[in-house]
Amino acid sequence: MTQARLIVVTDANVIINLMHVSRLEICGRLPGHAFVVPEHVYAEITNPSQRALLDAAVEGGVFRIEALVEISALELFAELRTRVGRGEASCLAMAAERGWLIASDEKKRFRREAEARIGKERILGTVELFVLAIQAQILTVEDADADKAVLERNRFKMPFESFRELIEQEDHG
Amino acid sequence: MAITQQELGRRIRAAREACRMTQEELATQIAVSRPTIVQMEAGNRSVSSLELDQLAYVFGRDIRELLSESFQEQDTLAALFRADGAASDQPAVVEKLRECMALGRELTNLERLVGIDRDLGAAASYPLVPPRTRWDAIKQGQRVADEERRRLGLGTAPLPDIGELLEMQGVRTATVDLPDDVSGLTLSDRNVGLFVVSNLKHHYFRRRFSFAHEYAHVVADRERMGLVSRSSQRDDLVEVRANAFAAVFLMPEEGVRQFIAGLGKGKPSRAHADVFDEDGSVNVEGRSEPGSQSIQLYDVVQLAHHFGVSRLSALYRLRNLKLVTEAEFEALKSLDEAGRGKQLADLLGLPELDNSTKGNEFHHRFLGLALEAYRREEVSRSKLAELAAMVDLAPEQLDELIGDADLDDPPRVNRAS
Repeated sequence: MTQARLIVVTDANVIINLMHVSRLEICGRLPGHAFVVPEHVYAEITNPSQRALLDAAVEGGVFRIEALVEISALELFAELRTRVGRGEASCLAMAAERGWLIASDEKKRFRREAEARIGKERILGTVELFVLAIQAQILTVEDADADKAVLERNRFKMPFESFRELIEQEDHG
Repeated sequence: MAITQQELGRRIRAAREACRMTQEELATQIAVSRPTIVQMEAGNRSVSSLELDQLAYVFGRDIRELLSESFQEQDTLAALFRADGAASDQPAVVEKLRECMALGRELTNLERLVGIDRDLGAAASYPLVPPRTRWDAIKQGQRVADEERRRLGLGTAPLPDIGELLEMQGVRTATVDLPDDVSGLTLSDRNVGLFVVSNLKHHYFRRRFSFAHEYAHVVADRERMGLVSRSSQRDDLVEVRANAFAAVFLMPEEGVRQFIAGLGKGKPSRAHADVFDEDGSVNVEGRSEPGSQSIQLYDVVQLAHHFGVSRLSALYRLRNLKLVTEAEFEALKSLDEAGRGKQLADLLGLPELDNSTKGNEFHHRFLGLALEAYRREEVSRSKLAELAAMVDLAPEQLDELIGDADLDDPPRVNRAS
């Protein structure tokens, strides 16, 4: 029997966050998850070194690039384009159309659109991916906290001291 | 109900043909092979969001149009190409038209998002018979300019900011880097509304003239949906009419005559009058001091400054109003071309406006609206970045702008450090 897989459509901000701490492989190792990068998101990653890292991750099976082609999804994409960026619109339209999850760190307008269209429970971000990685024993809490410090130096603040707090909340919740 | 893939293919074909593009040209534009286009148009191959986004841009359309029930085969860009065959053969012009359509659409969207209710019906429309001769065209342009000034209650005064005036008439304005040959363009699109563009590379005074010229197209040629104004086409009758309009709109005859009279000039060298007393008349002749009425270059400098036009434009207006003779016109023009006009302007304390600082009003306004939409959470940070890129704002500058405007999102990493 094959394990059911949750498919996560991944936005550029999460991919780049993971690149900053050299943790793209988390996406390839999380059990029960598969990570998809929409064509638009792939096109947004134009920095040559980041593009090389992404290409290597695709080559290694960490991500697969997918096109958004369903007409109803294209309609949603077109509607979303008036308020959100191309990459975000393609992530959200793909997740909504195919019943997938989304991984994005965008707040405010995008978050509201995403919650309204696919529900809070189907939205992940960099933090949630780290938590899943710790739970799957891909990372230790110490590894994750070290990465947190790196990301915070790059202006990605997280509103907690240590990933331990989040793991404990999960354990009790 | 969603359209079918076959219908989408049919629309792509219709939009391509309306833009007078071959399948090969379209394939090159969106970096796919010609057989891919053939398959797409036949409905045998799906179209991705990436491709659809590119197709919409190339066709100068809103991506939603290609999918909506209200799809129309002929739209603004297509109408423009139909009316101006040369436009579709000039890649640089076509590319700028696409950029302008995209900018106009985003500007319209931003205004809607921040609740700016533009009265698109404010701009007047003057139905005119097509001019048959240049003389017809000049007379029509002058008459419409006079009527429009009257309608707007402008009297004989100079126009302080023509862009603002156009905006108040429901016309969106932009200043964009256009090819040298193009002074401006007018688009009348059902989604974008009325949109006029002047060339950022041109001098401020020329841009003012271009806005007035394009406004002539708005009020007199609106049914044409789109017009590109090029110096190489200045002999076309609608262009002659628009130029005549612009000259009068910026420099109304009465205003010019009053200004010149205020300089103690403009009277004929000889004037006759008959004084009649119900029985007989006395003939009176008045003469001005020889040479006293002669308009000098410093008068032209002041006139140009007063009306916010170039000295050359002021000179042409004086000649057309017969306030200078042909010989005087040529002499004054030569002096100005030799740099004397600029020297005089400096000495009179009437320095020319700084072209660079007067160039970016549109960018400021566009970015201001985008920031406001972001502040109100009407658009996402990524959308804001896309909008900023459309007016050439680098990502680092946008970060700085957001920081300075105190609109920082929760900090995040989104680029290579």
